Formats: sequence, structure tokens, C-alpha cells
Amino acid sequence: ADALATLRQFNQEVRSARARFTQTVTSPDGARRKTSSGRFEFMRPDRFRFVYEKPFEQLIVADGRKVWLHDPDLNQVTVRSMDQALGATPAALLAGNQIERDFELKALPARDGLDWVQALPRGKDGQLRQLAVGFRGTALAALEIVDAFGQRSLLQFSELQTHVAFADDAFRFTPPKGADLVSP
Amino acid sequence: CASPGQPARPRHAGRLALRTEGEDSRSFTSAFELYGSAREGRLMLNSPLGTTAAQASWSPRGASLQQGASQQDYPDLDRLSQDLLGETLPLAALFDWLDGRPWDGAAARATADGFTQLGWRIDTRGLNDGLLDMRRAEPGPPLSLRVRLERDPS
Repeated sequence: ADALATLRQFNQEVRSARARFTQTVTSPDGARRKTSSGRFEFMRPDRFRFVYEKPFEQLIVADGRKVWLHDPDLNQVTVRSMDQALGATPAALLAGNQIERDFELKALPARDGLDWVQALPRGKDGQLRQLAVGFRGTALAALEIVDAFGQRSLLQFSELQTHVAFADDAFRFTPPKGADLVSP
Repeated sequence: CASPGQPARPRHAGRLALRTEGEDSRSFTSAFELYGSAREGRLMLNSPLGTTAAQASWSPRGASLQQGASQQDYPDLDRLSQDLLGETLPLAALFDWLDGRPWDGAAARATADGFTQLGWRIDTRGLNDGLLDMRRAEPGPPLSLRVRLERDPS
């Protein structure tokens, strides 16, 4: 299947979705791996939630204006404005609606049973060496990020539900009482 | 990428939350991996999505900070820490603090909840849960550094 057409269709037609994910980060020398898992939800053009559940809880919420990072363990909430946050980032590739503006897209050969599209961030500061999204048929299946140091992060999605009717406050974040709320 | 002679396994890994109080309070939260020693080593700061936001490396010859494709050199770790975190963190002492003990490079005083050194108060009571709470009263605005260490940094 033409992954590029699939990504464009996904970007156009799937206005909201929810999935579970497993994230595997492999060190540049390939010697060490760290796995985490959780839930990912989004509603175009600018709302998403990464809920990390294991091995520890961490929450990233983009509410359309700000991106909140809550680390309950360290009792800290960090917030930064949206424009610094979304732009040509992995989250924007999945949840944004300006993928042609933010990325240079190119179909890649099929691999690991998935059809892949490479997304080169336009004008980004060289943080990422490679960003690619993988589909199984027309279903979002994976996101692969290789940073400038060669560290590789692979998010594999499962239990994908599309066209989810999220509640109005689904992407609102209210800092818990007592958490130190500070913006960088 | 580990330069030759650099150990591959981190000496400490986990998450840190740095916060300055006062009117222009600022915060910084990140996963981290600390390699090597105060003399020669590396600190990697990772985003939740697993990408490396920054890598600081140092040796007796000096220190350098890589962020994305750009690299910046510094005469020493203090200057680098000031640029990276907006605060001069005693990164050299941090290696021993994260083991729950004072650094052997300066005087320290035991306290009920741990010890004080270099103007910092280190609370080690949560250490067997991997939690360390460090606060600096002065100079400058109060500063707090909370760290949650991974059980066995693989």
C-alpha cells in the first residue's frame, strides 16, 4: 500500500483517536533498552495526551494553548506555550493538521510488516535524525524517532480507536493541589 | 555515542525536577543518565518520548554541551551547568550525593535528615525508595532539585 497516501488520508479523515502504546528506547550503542507503556489520545489540530503508566506515571497534555508535563512522583508540573511545543515534533506528525507544512514526507520501503513514511522536520534545529510513522494497512501502528545522538525510540500502537467523541474537557489539565506549578 | 574509555552503563539514571522559587520561578523536568565520574563523564537529558534533549560531557580538558546539531564548549562544568539549567549545579558533587553520601571535595556536616554541603541541604531519608531531595537556601533564590533514581539503571 502507498504509505504516503495512507498518512495523508489518516491526517485528513481521522480527526480524533485513542490507542495504547509501548515505547522502547534503545541507546545509541544498542546496548541498553528501556520500555514504558501507556495511552495516547489526540484531537486535531492541537490537542493530545500521552499518559505514561509504566514503569512510572507521567502525563503530557496539550490543551490547544499550552503543553503540560506532570510528574506525580516528583510532584512537579511544568507548562510551556504551545507554539514552542508542537511545530515539527513527533506529536504534531500524529495529531497536527499541518504535516505538509511541518514535514517533508517520503514513502519508505515496507519493514517489520508495516508501511512506513519518513517525515523530515522542516527547519527544525537538528534535534531529530529520523522520524517515521508506520501503518498496518490504514491503521496507525508505529512511530519511530532517532535523535541526533543515534538514540532510537519506537512507539508501537495497539487497540486503536478512531473518530472518538472526546468530552470537552478531555484535553484540559488542572494541576493537582500541592503540586509545584512553574513555567520554564 | 559513548566515546572510547567511557563506561557504557550509567552510574545513575532516573528523573530530576529542578525548581527555583522566588518571583521569576522556573522549573525543569527531565529523565537523565549520568555516566563516568566527576573527573570525566557524561550527563544525558532525555524527553519523555525518549529523544535526547541535551548531552553534557566533561573531562579535565573542559566541558561541552550538545543540543541537537549544535555543540558549545565551556572551560568547566559550572559554566556549562549555568548555561544549560540557568543555575550552577554542583554536578561534580552530585555523583556522591546520588549515592547518598557527601562529596569528598568539600567540607560537609551531618544533619537529622542527611547532610549539608556546598550550601545545599541533602535529604537522604527517601533514598531506599530512590528519592533524593536537595535544597539550596543561598546564594540567590532558593533552589530545589528532586531526583527519583531508577532501581537498576540498565
